[in-house]
This record gives sequence, C-alpha cells and structure tokens, in this order.
Amino acid sequence: MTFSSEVVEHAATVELLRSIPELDIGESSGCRLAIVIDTDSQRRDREIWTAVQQLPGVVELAVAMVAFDDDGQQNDSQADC
Amino acid sequence: MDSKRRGFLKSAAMAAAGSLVVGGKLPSAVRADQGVGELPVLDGLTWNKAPCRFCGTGCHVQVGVESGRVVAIAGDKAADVNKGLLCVKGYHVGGILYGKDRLTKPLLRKEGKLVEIEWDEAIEIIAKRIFESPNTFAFYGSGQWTIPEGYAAQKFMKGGLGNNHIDPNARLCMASAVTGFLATYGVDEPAGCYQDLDECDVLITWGNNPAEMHPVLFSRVTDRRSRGETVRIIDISTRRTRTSDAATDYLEMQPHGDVAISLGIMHLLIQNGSYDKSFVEKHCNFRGAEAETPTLQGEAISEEEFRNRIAKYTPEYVAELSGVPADKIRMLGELFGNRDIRITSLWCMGMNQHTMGTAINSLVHGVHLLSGHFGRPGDAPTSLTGQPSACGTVREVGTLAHALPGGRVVAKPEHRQQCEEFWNLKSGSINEVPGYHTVKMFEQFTKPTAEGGDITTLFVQVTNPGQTLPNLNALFNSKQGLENKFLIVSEVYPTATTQLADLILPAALWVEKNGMFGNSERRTQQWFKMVEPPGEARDDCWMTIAIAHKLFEMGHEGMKDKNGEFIFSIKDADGREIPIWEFEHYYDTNVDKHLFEEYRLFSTMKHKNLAPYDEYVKARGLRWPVVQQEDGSWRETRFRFSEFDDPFVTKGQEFEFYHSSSNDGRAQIWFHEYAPPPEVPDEDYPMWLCTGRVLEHWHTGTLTRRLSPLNRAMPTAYVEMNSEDAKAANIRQGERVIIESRRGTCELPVWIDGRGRPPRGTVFVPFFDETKLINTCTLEAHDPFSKQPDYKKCAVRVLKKSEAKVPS
Repeated sequence: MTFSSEVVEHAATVELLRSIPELDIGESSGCRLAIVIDTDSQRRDREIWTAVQQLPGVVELAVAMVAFDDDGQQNDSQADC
Repeated sequence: MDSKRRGFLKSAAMAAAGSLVVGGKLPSAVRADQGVGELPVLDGLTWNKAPCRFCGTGCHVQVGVESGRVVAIAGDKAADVNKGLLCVKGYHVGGILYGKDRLTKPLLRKEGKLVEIEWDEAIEIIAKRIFESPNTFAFYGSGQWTIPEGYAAQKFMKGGLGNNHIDPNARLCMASAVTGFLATYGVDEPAGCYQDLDECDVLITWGNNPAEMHPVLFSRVTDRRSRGETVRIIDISTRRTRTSDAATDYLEMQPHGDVAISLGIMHLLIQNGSYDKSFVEKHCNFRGAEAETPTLQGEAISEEEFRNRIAKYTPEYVAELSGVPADKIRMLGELFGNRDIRITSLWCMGMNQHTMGTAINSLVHGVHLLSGHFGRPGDAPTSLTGQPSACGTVREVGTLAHALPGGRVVAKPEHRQQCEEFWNLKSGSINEVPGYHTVKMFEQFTKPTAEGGDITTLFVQVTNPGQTLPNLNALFNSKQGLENKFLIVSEVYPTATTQLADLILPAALWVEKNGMFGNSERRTQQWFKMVEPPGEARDDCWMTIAIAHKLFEMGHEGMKDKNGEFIFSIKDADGREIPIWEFEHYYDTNVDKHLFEEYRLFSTMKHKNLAPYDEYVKARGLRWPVVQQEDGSWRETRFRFSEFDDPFVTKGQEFEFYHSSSNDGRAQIWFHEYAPPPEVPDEDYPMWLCTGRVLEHWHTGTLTRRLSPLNRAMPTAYVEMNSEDAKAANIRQGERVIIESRRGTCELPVWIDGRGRPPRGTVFVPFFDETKLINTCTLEAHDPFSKQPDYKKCAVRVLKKSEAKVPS
C-alpha cells in the first residue's frame, strides 16, 4: 500500500486495517506498508481490495505476489463452439 | 489447500510485499539471477521465469509450479521491465490455463455438429486440403505467436508452399507503426526504450491510455512523481480516460485532430526558428508524398518546400481542424522548441488504427526529429504494442504478407534469393507477389468462389478474428453457408471464431510449451515449458510442422529442401532425424532452440542482431541489436542510432540512421496534408464511435473472461455516453440501447460519465465482450500503406430499444 504521506501519519487508517480479520499487516517504510490478504472466496478478496483502496490516505495498491486455490478459477464465458 | 501450505504461501506473500516496501526506490539495473532466491522455497514447489502472456510491455513473472500445476505468480524482481511489479491482469495470469472449458480434443464439424476426432485425422484433413489446392490456402496468426511458432509458419508458407497469404492480427494493431518507422528511418521499431520513461521531463500520450492498457509502464512515470520528481504529462485524446486523470494537461481533440496538431507543432518550430537546425542539417531530409501513386519512399523536398507546405498550419487553423485551442498548440510548440527539457511521446492504437496511420506516425517522428528531441535518454518518439510478441514475431520474423525474416521483402529478387539460400531451398521457391493483407484475406475467404473469393481454406492460430475484424458481418459472419470454405481454428477456449470453425484444434497455452516473445522495446524473451497442456492440447508450432511433414509424406515438393530433406528436419548428435512431427517426440529436443538458431542468422541483415538462444535462457530478455564483445559476452542496445550506445553508429557521427531510405544516413521528416476521416457523423448517424480496451480484460477476453476476479470486476461491455447526450435522448444510466452503424448493430448497457468520459457527440465501446460484438458496427476502411483499419472513428446512432427498427 502507498499512502499520501508517511505511514505513521495515518494511524486511523492502520487501525481500520487491523479490524479486517483476513488482513495481516507487515513492514512499513516511508509512505509504504506491506499487507497480506488471505480469504476463502474471491468475492471477499474483491470486497477487501475495494475497501482498502477507499480508505483515507491510500493512494495506490500494488501486488507483489498472488497464490490461488485449485478450485479458484471459474469459467464465466458465455462463448460456445 | 492444506493449512501448512496456506500458511507458508501467506508468509511468502508477506516477504514479497515487505521486500517491495523496504526496497524503497526500485533498482535501476538488475542481474539475471537476482530475485529468485527471495521466492518461497517449499518441497515440490518450483519457480521459473516467463514473460507475462498479455500485453506488449513484456513484464516478467515468476511462475510457481507444484504437482504439475501453476499455483502462484509473483512479479519478477530481476526483470528490468517491471522490477517486481505486475498489473491486475499480470498477477492473475496463471489462472488463464485453468478455465473450465479448455479445448482438449480436435473437433470436426459434421452435419452442423462438432464431433471429436483424432489428431492424425485432423492433420490429414488439413494436409489434403492444402495439397489439393495450395494457392487457395491462407494462414492467419498473431502477435501472440511465439517467435519460433511464427518463424515456422512463415517458413512453411513462403518457403514450403510458395504462398504468401500469411498475415497476423497485428495488421489490425500496429501495422501503421511499422510503416511509420520504415518511412522515417528505413527500418522498423523504436530507437529508444523504457528508460525514456524514467528520464523524460514531459510525457505526451497521443490518443493513448497507458494507465489502463500498459499500467506497469505508466507506473514508472507516476512512481517518479510519488518520489517528488516533476514529470509533466500531456494527454491528447478524444475522450477523458484514467490517463487524463493523471495528466497535467488534457487536450481534447476531434478525431484525426492528431494529424493537424503535429503539423501545427512543426509549423511553429519552423516559424519561430526554434527547431534544431544543427540536428536537422546533419541528420535529416525532408520528404513529401508523390502526387501520383504515393509510396513509403515518398519524394525528396527541399526545406523551403517543406516551409511552404507547412505554412498554412497556423495554431488557429489547427485549432479549427483539431478542436484543441490555439494557445495549447502554441504551448506544445514552445515545449518542443525547448532543448533543455526531454520529451517522450507514447502512442498505441489511437495513432495506428487510423486511416492516416502511416502519416500520423511519420509526423510525430518528424516533430521529434525537427525539434531535436531524439536519441537522448528521455527524448523519444515511442510506439507501444498490445500483444506480447507483435514486435518479436510479427515485425522481426516478418509474418506479414509482404515480408520475409530479417527485414527482407518478397518483392525484391535479391531478398528472395538470400532467404532461399538460408533455407537451402531451390531457386524460385518463394513467390514474388505479396499475399493478402488481413482485410483482403477475409474478403477473399468470405466471398463465394464463383464471385472471385479465391481463399478456400483458412487456418487461424492464436487469435480471434470472429471478434476483432472490423465490419464483422461482411468480413467474418458471411462465411456461414459457404460450403466449400473451410475454417480451421487452433484455440485454447471456445470463441466467436470457433463458432464458425469447421475444424477446431486444441492448443497448448503459455507455460504449457516452450516459447520466446519480443516486447515493445526490442527485448527478446525466453521461457521453458513448465506444465503439461490439458487433454490432447498441443503446441501450435508442432501443428505447423506436423502438417508440413504430412505434405512431405504426400510428396509435396515444397516441403523438401535442395537435398530432398524435410524443411524442418532436426537431427540428433548421431545424425539421425528426430521425428518432431510426432507429438510424443516433439520434446525429444528443444525445437524452439533449433528454429531460433536458424532464424537469428537473418537478424544481422538489418542490424537487429540476436544472441544465441542460451543467452536468453540466462537473461530476463535482451534488447537487440545484441552484439558479442571482445570478452565473449553479449551486450544489448538501449538506444539505437545514438553513438553513445549503438555499436553500429560510425564513430564521430553522434547519430546515424544506417538504414536510411535515402541511403545517406539521414532520417526523413515528412509532410502529409491533413485529410478528414472517411466516415463522419451526419444527420442519420450523428455520433462518433470509438472502440478500445479496458484495464481488466485483455483484447477479446478469451483469457481474462476465464478469470473470475477480473470478469467480476468488469463483467460486460458497455457504451460510454456523455451525460448531456444521454439527457437529450432521454437515456438513463444502465439502460440498454442499440448502437447502430451502416454495417450492423450492437445492444449495450449505457454508462454515463463512467470510467471514461467522452465529449458530446462521441460514444466509446470496449471490444472484449464476446456477447456484445461492437465490431459489427466498425468500418473496414484502412490506411493505404499499412492496410490497418480504423477502429477509432466511424458514424453511429444510439437508439433506445423501443425506437430500434432492427432487433439486436
């Protein structure tokens, strides 16, 4: 996560992050903070992503790594041979 | 996933995220072996590098494989392109392999129904059709072909069959960039590289939306801003996008306004005397189109003549043509007149999908040359590509209907002769007549044979023309009912194209096979097969070789070289032929390596030198020309034509355009007269239609529509409307409307003032959605040189469903 200024200036937002059970907080440096989201569904993953994006002071989210379940991929295409 | 493994991957993810955070400023240079050690180590989990499968940026990913399955993706910190970052599509790229509806068995249409057949039968059907009528066969590929796949297809068609009807979908996306580079420098592809984004003071996006289409590249610029650097972004566009949101200046132009704007900048540079006289005198000529039968060579004109022609493009006249205020044109003129700053121009489809595509590409190069904003890091005119190997496979291998590998063309006898010698073919094997370009190829395929439609069998690999061709009803859908027309499609999933296919071949995808790509900055990249393809899916390259060998068995002379050997023959160390046409033996050797080593011999002919295959195994790609040093190492080139970096520039020249079309080491500054688009809104069809892409989906969505997170984020195509237009037509947010052009209709939900914000009189529709084919409406009018169609502007009307006469 990248904040608009030093992470320490966004204590309220960091507290909100701590209230999300699927989210772990890692190291911070300057205006950047490492987090990991571990959810049971992609829907929840998306909800958290959207919520975190909208928290006060958050200017950017970048992904460092993603791992997924075997059954995580669904086919939503409506195309047919 | 068991809890131990889950916990492990979670801690690995934290380590990866933490390294980005603590790393602060990302490294400006990286070693090939850097970064891998920081990835999680787990019994049974292996990591290997691959370029991302999506766009032309060429990000590298680390692919985590466990039990024969891709289970994790991480940005590759050792990669200079992305330095560990990925976009939203990139970090989901592993999932593209695992959609539920993967094609796993060859399917033949019999009496209207698709039935499973064996591979041997499929190959025999194709070979027989080609053997019986080799000249009415055409091969259609893409910038998603790997380099060896494209090279094999090219050799099979032009060398083996003596048939030049091979063209890629890249004709639809970057052909005008090619002709722009050729017309200006005499040789294709950008002179600069992504380092220009790190060093420019001003970034101009010409009809380009990198914030969504090339987000990792755009983040190199926005990241600089977040570190406190000043980078002025000027977005010139026909609608507001996410790039406009980040821009310092947004200049809204009318369609084709870019041509007028570039002429206006050049007018000001000349009028104000602020052009770089020294650079122009030493390194440039002036060029204009011939009055009759214009060519890419054009004719020489004097500087005086150039001044005369450009004189009328005053800021006021340009404002009238482009819609951009005169003071903004003056602002651009002043910026380009300032040599103390560095300016990079970026463009992609906006300037390429354009009926004046060659002209506008040449003009923007001309603006940079005239102003001297060229050849220093940060000073560059740079085109981006939309596919992972549009450059590597299409432009360098030359899988276009007129081209041969190594920048050779079929029309020149000496080029054909060189190629025949490289391929050890009999003299005269290669046909001198260029084949059909994409639009013509599909016209000839969908036209009844009795009416002159002389393509009867069409083989499509790694692309989806049933969704991407313009004017789909005329160029694709009209194939229905033509019984002697046979469509073969190699695909990974069902698509709009497979719906009309007579034979479907299941294809291996990405890390299910070996591969090589070439990205937008001349970077050649390599990866190894990591997992098995599902069912009976097989490599596209193998398909081409198997068909060629079947023809060889049938006695087709073209499949033999001068010595009577199979043209794709590969022998083992004992001189025994390896039967690579049998799939069970295809991986007995590294076919990619054999093909690449053969292909790279061509690469020196236009100073696009490639290193041996094994050098690419070690690196995260190398930018050509790659030249061997005295110590035996291989050195890549970041800035072509500049003495400080390009080994082919003569010492003391500072700059040298060593493939100059005027044979004097100079680049050409072109003049092209502004011309309006071929179809403009009128009383019946009063709106402009622009089509394009979105962040979440890649091109036709064949891959990204199988990724639930992306598909949920962007589940449907839509039509962006201006709120005033919607209000005037009594259209509400989310209402389904009919977009209608003179060629077709498309039903879509309305998004008013959504992600993109078109001005009054313009609508925008993305093309990723196979259930809402907007290309039924687009126009097949194309650039006269590049033959690339214009998907960015045609005339439509927006009808409420209750008003529509034609049901969608």
